[in-house]
Amino acid sequence: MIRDITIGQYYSTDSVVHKMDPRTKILWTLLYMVMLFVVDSIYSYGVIIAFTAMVIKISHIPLKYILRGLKPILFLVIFTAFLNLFLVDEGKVIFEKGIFSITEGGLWLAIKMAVRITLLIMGTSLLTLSTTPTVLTSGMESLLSPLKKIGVPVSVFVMMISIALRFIPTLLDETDKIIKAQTSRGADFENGNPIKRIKAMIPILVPLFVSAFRRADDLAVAMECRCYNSDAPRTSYRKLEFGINDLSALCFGIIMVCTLVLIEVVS
Amino acid sequence: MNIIETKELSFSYKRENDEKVVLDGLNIDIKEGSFTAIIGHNGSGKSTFAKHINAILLPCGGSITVCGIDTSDEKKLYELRKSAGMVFQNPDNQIVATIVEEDVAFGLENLAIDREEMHRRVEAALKAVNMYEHRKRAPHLLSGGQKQRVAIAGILAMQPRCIVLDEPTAMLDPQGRREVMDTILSLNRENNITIVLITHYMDEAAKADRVIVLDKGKVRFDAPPREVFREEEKLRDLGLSVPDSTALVHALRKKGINIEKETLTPKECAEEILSVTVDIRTRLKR
Repeated sequence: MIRDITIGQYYSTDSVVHKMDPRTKILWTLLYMVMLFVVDSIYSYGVIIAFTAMVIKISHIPLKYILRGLKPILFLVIFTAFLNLFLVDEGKVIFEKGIFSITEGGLWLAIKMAVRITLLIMGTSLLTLSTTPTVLTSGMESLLSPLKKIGVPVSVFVMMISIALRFIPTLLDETDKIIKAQTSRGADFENGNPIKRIKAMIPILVPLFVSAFRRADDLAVAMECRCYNSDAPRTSYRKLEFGINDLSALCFGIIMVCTLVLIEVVS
Repeated sequence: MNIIETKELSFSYKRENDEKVVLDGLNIDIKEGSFTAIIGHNGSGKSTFAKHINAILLPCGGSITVCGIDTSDEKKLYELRKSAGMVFQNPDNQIVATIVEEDVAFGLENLAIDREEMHRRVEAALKAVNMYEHRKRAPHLLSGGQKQRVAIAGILAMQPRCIVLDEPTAMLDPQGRREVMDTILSLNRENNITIVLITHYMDEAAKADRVIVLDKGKVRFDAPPREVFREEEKLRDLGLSVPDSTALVHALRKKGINIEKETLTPKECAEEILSVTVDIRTRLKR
C-alpha cells in the first residue's frame, strides 16, 4: 500500500526536459492543464496526446513508470467515465435496457473525461518526475516572488513545502514500522467492515502523530541552531538559469496555443 | 584561551509548585581547540548544559559565555550560533533539504552568504567529513552514520570555532559510530575545532582529552580520561561505567596482578597484560 505513493518522486535521467528551468516547466504544466480543459475538438486532443507522447519520449522516462503513477487514480477515471456514460442524456440513443441508456453525447463525454484525467495526471507527473523537489520549490519561490511585495510570506510557504516533501519518505518509513509493530501485537488491519478498518487505523495514527510532532520540534531546534530566521534575507545555493531551451519551449507553447485555437475555431 | 566559560550556571524547570533543578551552579571552562567529553547518567543535566552553549536554553542563574559572547545577549544570537554549532542525536530530524549538498548549504543560505563562497564551503565541508561523493544523493537513502556526517558537514560549513555534539552516535550501529567518531577526531586535530561531546559510551569519552562527569547538575569529576576512569567504583555508584579495557585491568588488579598503568583502549590493555605475563614467565623460569 505504501509503495504505491509516488508524490514528488523523481526519476533521474540526463534529458533536456530534466535540465530545463523549473519555472518553464511549471508554466508549461499550468498551460497544459488549461489547454486540456478548454479544448473540445477531437483534433485538439490528438495534438495534445501527440505533444505528451513527444515530451515523454525526450524525457527518457520509461512510459511504464509513468503509467504506474496512474494506478491509484484508475478507479476515479473509470468511475467518472461510468457516470458520464449513463447519466448524460444527449444526442442519439445507442443502447437501451431498462432504466439504463447510453447516448452518443454521453459516450463522447465519458471518453473525453477519461482522456482528460489521464493526460492531466501524466502531464503533472512528468513535472515531478523530471524535477527534484528542491528545484521545484525554488522555481515556485521565484515565480511567486512578486507576491512578496504585497506582504505574502512566500519564502516561509516554500520552506514549508520543501520540508513536507523532505519528510514524506521519513514518515512513510515510520508508518511502515508502526504497522509492523502493531501487527506483531495482533492488530488486524485487513479484515472486517469499513468502519472496523477505519477504527483499526487509530493505533497507527496516534503514534505517527506523536512522533511527527516530536520530529517537528527537533527539526525546529536544529534549524534555529543553523541560524534560520524566516524574517531575515536568505541567499540561495541553487541558481536558476533560463536558457535557450527554455525560451524555445515557451515559444513552442505559444505556437501550440495558436494551433489549438485555430483547430477549435475551424471545427 | 577559554572558548566556553560558565559562572555558577544554574537552570531549573518550573512547573506549578514544583521546581526541578537540572543544573546546579556549574563552573566549567573549556579551552579553545580542546576535545571535552561530558558523561553522566540520564537526567544528570548533560544535554541541558549542551543546549546552553548556543542559547537554545538560557540560564536561570549565573552566566555562560561562548566565544566571548554572553548567550543571553539576543543581538548577538546569530553570531553565537555561527561560531558554536550543534549536532543532535537523531540525524533524520536535523536534515532540512532533500539533497545532501543543499542541506549542507542550509546554514549558509540563512547567513546570506553569496553563492560562489557557498559552493566553496559546501565542497570543503563535505570533503572534511568524507561525504563529497554522496553530495547529489537524497539524505533518506543514506546510512545512519552517513546522515550524521552530513549533519556535521552542515555545521562545519558555517565555519564554527566550536561544535557541540549531543549524543551523536546514540542511534547508530557500530560502523556508523566509528565513522562519526573518526570524523570528530579529525576535525579536532586537523581543523583545530573545539569539540564538546555529550555521550554515554565510555570508549568514546576515553578518546577525549578531558572528561567531565555530571551528576544531578553538579560536576563530580573533571580530569583527563585516565584519571576519571581510575575511579571505577565511584563512577559505578553514579550509574556509569568505564571502558571495558579499563575494567579488565581493574579486575586483574583486584586478583593481585600488578598492572600499574590505566588503559583506555584494547590495544593498550593487551600490551600491558602481555608485559606482565612476560614478567611472570621470566620469574617462573628462574
